[in-house]
Amino acid sequence: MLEICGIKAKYGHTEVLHSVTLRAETGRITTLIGGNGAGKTTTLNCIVNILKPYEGQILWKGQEITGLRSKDIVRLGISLIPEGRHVFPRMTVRENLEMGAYIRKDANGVQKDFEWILELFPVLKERLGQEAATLSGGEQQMLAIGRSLMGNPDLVLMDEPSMGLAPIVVEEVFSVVEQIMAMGKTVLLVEQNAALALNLAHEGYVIELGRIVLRGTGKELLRNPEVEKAYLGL
Amino acid sequence: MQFFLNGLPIGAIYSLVALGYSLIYAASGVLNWSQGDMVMLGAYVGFTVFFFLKLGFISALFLAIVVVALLGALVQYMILRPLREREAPPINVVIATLGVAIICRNLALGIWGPDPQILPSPVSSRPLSLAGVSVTPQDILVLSVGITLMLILHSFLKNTREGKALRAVAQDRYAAQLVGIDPERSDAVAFAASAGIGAAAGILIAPIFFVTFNMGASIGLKGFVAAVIGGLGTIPGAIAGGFFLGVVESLAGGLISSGYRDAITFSLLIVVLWLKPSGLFLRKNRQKV
Ligand SMILES: Nc1ncnc2c1ncn2[C@@H]1O[C@H](COP(=O)(O)OP(=O)(O)OP(=O)(O)O)[C@@H](O)[C@H]1O
Ligand SMILES: [Mg+2]
Repeated sequence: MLEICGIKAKYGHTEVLHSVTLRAETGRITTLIGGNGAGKTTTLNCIVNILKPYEGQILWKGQEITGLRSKDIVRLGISLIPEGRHVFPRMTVRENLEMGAYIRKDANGVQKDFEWILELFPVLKERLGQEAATLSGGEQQMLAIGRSLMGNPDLVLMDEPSMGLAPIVVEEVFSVVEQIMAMGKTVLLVEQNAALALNLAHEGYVIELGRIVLRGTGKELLRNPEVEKAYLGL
Repeated sequence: MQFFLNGLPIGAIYSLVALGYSLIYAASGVLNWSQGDMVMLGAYVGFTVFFFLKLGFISALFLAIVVVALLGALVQYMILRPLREREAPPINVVIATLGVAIICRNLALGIWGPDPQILPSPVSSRPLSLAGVSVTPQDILVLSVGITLMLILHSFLKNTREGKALRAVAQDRYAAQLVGIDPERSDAVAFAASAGIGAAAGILIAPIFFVTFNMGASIGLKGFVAAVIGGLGTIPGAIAGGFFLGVVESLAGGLISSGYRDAITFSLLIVVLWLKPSGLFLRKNRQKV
């Protein structure tokens, strides 16, 4: 379980997270929704300490990870699939996947995961030797997910995986999210596509201007009038 | 033809120095102004190993690479990393490398004195005639060691764990951190590799040019120009830029006037930058290692 307790963060002198508290239960999908600039990406970057929160705590499996170096947080089984994919553009698909397993020493496990991920995303299999920069947006998203899974994480943080994708590709990505959860992994999903995310998630949080303003099960939030008005466009 | 060939060995040297600039720039975005001084230190360490430890040329080359590479990693860990952790603006980091350069020069002056030194060549520098052109064994040595080092670097970046991590950092520092790479460590690897390659260049030119405490300034500048001509931050660009500069210099000196060699070369640099502002060999969107 991941627990974030009252974290605050700033860029330069501007505070952008005023107080964020949330938890992601083991083996479940938790979603964090909110509008542009609400602080979703910032929250995820705080979890992996790309940005250091200046107040508050982050606990993972009961252990405090606030302030650990990013490389050590990744080694504790936390993987962020970043907004905008961030695949390694001049590396091939195969090399990108290999980089995902950078922290692992179990060659056999890596090989198994490699094969499994190619089954999950057959398009990647056809493009193993191709440079990542030449992939389509949807393919890059799949590669970003595959790269993250190659590290065999226990907690997967996903930042807007549906951004800029055709509906059919979004469906594919979301079905993968469910499969990841079915493997017992914990998922924290950040989405602008609130309807999709809340339908999928066990639990949801709404963030506005750097504060968590609502929390509830996915179903509850779907029926919440404020959420309907602000995020579901009803 | 003869002038073209004469340009190749010095071109290889420029390539090695240019590689140092590009590797560090690609990894950490820093222009390392102490690159030329790593060449100087390599030459002096080689000189010391040769004359005082009385070891052979190969040992001198090897030891110089190792010692100077360690020094490069030290510069990154002791000087640049703390600066970045304190969120110094990039330009200040660059200025710190200039500081390193000046410290190196001053220390070299103190240790090895102001008199120019020369390292005897392990092979003859008497020209051999081959099919109407003449080459010296010294030229062949410089070229072959230079090209071997480039191949080693290529294979390091392609095939080793540290090398791949370095490429990842160069291509996307943020994503590299997300897969668990320590970018500061990769920067140190880049500094060590650059310094080591620079040191090798220093040993290779030590039998040709005089070794002086301030030789780093001119060789460093030439290497930098070569890196820019090729497209700063790319490996093939640095190599091509170095050979290009070497050959152009030799042609300009031989066919036009050796007195105006530098003026001609740098005019050409400006023309190249007019025509291809991002460098001759940098394709659009195909930046970095
Ligand atoms: N690198 C940065 N430097 C300065 N301010 C930033 C930086 N990144 C984000 N911000 C600011 O922090 C606030 C929160 O940004 P964040 O990226 O976390 O929003 P978000 O919820 O992920 O939005 P989106 O849905 O558009 O991705 C915004 O006001 C943004 O302008
Ligand atoms: Mg965002």
